[in-house]
Amino acid sequence: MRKVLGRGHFAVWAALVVLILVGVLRYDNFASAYNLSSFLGYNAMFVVISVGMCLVIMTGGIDLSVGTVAALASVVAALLSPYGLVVALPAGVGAGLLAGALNATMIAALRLPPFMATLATMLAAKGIALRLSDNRAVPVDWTSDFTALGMNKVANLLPWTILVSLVVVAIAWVIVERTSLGRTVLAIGGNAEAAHLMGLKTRRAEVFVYLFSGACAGFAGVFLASGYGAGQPLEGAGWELAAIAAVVVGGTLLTGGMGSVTATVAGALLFGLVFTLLNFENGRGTFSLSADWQSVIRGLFLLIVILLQARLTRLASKN
Amino acid sequence: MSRRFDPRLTGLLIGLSALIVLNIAVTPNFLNMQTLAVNASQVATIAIVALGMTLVIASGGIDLSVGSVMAVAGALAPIIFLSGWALDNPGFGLAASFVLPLLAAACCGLFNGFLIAKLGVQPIIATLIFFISGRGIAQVLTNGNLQTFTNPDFTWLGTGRVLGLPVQGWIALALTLVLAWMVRKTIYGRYLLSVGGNERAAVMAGVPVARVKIATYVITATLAGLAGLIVVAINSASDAARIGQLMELDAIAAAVVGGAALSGGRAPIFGTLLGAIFIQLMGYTLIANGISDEMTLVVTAAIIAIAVWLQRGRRN
Amino acid sequence: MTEPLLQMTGITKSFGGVPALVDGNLSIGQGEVHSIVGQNGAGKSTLVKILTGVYRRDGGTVRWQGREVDLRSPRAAQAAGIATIYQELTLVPQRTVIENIVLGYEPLTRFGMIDWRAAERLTRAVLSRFGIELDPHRALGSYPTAIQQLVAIGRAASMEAKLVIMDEPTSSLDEREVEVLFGVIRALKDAGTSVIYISHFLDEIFEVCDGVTILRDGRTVGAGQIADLTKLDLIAAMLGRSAEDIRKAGMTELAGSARAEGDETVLEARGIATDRRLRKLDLKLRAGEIVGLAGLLGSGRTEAARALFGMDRLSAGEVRLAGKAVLLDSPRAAIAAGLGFLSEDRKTEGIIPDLSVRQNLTLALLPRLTRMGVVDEARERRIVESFIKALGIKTADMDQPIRELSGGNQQKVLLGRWLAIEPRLLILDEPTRGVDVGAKREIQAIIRSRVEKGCAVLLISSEFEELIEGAHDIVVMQEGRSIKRLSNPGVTEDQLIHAIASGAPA
Repeated sequence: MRKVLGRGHFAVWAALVVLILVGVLRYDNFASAYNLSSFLGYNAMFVVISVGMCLVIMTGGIDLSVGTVAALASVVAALLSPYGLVVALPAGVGAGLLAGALNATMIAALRLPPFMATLATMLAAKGIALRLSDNRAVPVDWTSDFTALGMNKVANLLPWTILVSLVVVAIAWVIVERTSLGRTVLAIGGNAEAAHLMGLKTRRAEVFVYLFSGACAGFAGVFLASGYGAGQPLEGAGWELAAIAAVVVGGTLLTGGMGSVTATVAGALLFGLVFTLLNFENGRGTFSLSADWQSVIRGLFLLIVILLQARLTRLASKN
Repeated sequence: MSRRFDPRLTGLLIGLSALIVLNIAVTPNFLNMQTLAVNASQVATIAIVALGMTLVIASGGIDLSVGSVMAVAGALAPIIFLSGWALDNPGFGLAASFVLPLLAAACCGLFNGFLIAKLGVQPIIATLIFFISGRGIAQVLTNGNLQTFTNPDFTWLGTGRVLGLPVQGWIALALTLVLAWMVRKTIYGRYLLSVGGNERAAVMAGVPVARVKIATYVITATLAGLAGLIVVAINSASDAARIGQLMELDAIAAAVVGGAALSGGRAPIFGTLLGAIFIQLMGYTLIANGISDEMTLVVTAAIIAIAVWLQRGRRN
Repeated sequence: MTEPLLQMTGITKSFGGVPALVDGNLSIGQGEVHSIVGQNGAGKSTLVKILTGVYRRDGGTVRWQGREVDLRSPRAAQAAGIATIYQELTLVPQRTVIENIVLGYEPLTRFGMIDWRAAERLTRAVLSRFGIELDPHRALGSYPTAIQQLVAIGRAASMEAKLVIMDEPTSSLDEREVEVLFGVIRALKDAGTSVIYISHFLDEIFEVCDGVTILRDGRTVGAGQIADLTKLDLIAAMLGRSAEDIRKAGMTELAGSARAEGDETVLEARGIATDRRLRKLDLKLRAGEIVGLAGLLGSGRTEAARALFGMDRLSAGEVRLAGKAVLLDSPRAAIAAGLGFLSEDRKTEGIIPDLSVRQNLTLALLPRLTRMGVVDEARERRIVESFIKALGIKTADMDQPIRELSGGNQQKVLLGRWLAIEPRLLILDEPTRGVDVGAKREIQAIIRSRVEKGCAVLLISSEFEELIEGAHDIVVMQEGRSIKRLSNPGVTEDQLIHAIASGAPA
């Protein structure tokens, strides 16, 4: 269990549990099936891109392109939605993989800094998404089974999207925890020079994480189109930074070499929960914090986590 | 006296000249004051923010919060000059609506600089805090409302013309000259380049590294604040949700195309101005010739990738 | 006679036109513990890195287990059975001990997943073989460097390498840990594994090695059995000191500066210590005096300099400047107090590569060249001009980026950086390392002229002649302590070598 939740990431789970308890105790409909399923449905997208980002950050890299790549994937999936889920889903994920391949080429082969390489991909993906969609939201074909993914729920409770996300999380977890590839990912971030001298296949691992992150963004895009009925070329702005924040809150250091896939999920959910709680608080009407406060509070939240981390790393470096 | 001319700057100038020649040949009405004014007014805010970004990048950092800081400053200004006090004291009110937002922006920079220089937080993460919450603060300040106003004195900043060119174009030009002078002639500039070029060596040579970094983030945030004021002045309206959105990317792109390297140690101020103009003009060229707006993004992406790749080659 | 396990012949390698290896030869037998010795820059690291696939050789042949091979990458070398423990730890500190042992060679289950149980068993087996007790689930970085070093060796041993290379493995170990390490080496040897053991501690070499190869200036100048050699033989061969003509050519420009008698004390350190391997240093420097700091690598010389210059916080003792106790808590404070420190690491602690010669030279002086934040560039140019002339810096012009200069000229610029502030005390850490002979003599001459004008110099050098001929007094350090002060004239090389080597683990 300790291993699944991520060693040393107790705090983020504790915070999650506390916030959930607060919600359940304070608000009437918080624990309702409707609230749970809409919360999970919306946050499935953030969970899945955060996991991709987590793997990238473990190598000491960064992927700024995930937001616009998700938007691109949503457009691709929406355009192909008349052919059904079997075509639209792989096509959306494929678009993400293609973007990931572009990143991987620039970073692993041309040795461009990840920040700039993925920034370029971010812009390019947005341009292509706008081009494909003719600058408009692309409505999906409601007669095909495409929207089933985003709208149907298992037992009227769990959206299919969150289940798919959890499968992706599980795959990422197995790779990181149980395969040589995953260990190489962590080793590169810990000490790239050492990883090379230890004879690890570092390029392969770098290529892998950017492909994986691209695929995750692809999934997020398909969820978006399927769950909200349209391919959204302009959606996804700032998602990359939300994902980075989730990864950081999940206890993964930006310097790489450490981190936990599952704690990242907790980080992503935690961010979503702040927003949901605010909505409920406003609904209660005792005092009103406008929706504008949510980003302020998220920022404060991030600040606290960073201050704690700075303290911890300081203590660690003193030893 | 030999002053070394940066070969990358030459390359950029050649590219820019080629683009201008191309436009003269193919774009209708390119050589006309209106075209120049439109482009100048669009590029000015990006250039102003990019100048600050160049300093931050030269110090070996990055600042993602510039767009949010623009929103904070841009939200504050109308609040101040629409307040009762400012309406009673128009002179002071106008002055305060320039000074206070810039001070607020500077405080944001101070906060970023403190996290980075004193607590050792990575610049991406430290500035992510304001990226997320700065815009929220601006929206809270304005209750999320669009503030529209008529205040000719204030909007002069964004709509006025001097010698046929927009005021903000002159401001961007003046700031470029001032910052280029600072980088070359002042102790701050010298220290900035040494901190970004080799931080350990700078410490050993007695450079006050923390102070230099903090100053850099303060300058960058203040410039972003100024850009925020200009955007509000152009529109005669302040929409906290939109001011400066994605500005951090435009600014980073301009700085990098202008020759700044993310590894730090170089502050090509003129290059940044040219980089901003180059990206702007490229977009204008494509649009003016009927190539769709969105393809400019793809072209910009390619320009960035090529610029970074060329730098990498030089760095060996 | 059977073919040796490894035979490297006529290896050459240069970096950017500068030869690092001219004629490297190395032969190692099955189950032999072999040492490679030589001064800094003799080519030891280059030779080893060619063997381990980090560098590609320019010429020469490598025969491994009787066959000619070309090891193109660290992975290829490891696959061939060559495991390396580098001087700078090349493990991943954030990861657990188990991971660091098995990284890249993880035992797998039938389903292709890592078998963490097997990995733990393997780790425990390796560690217990070496008598190390620790929690293998903890992050490697949470253990002291010595333990990390042993884990690195454990990794090599667990890969069942045929040859294990150890580059300065004991530089961070205490005596007991060194004994553990020697036990490990003997166990490896008994199991038929060969070991290359590189160390600056000659006593260790005599204790644990069978054979030795001596490198000097990129050439193998000798090889033989340890049993047939004495320590002085080895040192003489390393230094190339046996012939009289070499002795003459090596005369330094530091020689002959008269000691300024009875002058005021510039700096006095009383029992200073830091958390960074400086245990107890007593030191006194007078104006116009060069005091040498001698000792083996790891004896705490650089750490002493760092402490005096305000880079490491003192955990004990005090520093007095001109008789007054001072607290120098940063290089900035030290510079303000009149100190300068030329670091041995020119690349990471010296030059700002993209800045010009002029900007590099005046970096420490800058506050004094500045009025209202603006640098007085005319004055700056005059000063730089005079230093370029006085120091003989070869540069196209003062606005040339310093990275384009040769090592010797870079070093002169950095020396100029410190001379420009007219320091009362100049700390020089290996000031002539890695510069060519001509520049070396010029640098020494500059130092001497400054001393004659009353500057005090603390000179750290691994070159005995530089110390013996240059320093008025030599303070000998060992294990972070100052143990002896030798007074010139009259110090001989033998005397110095004995002082440095005495008391080292026998």
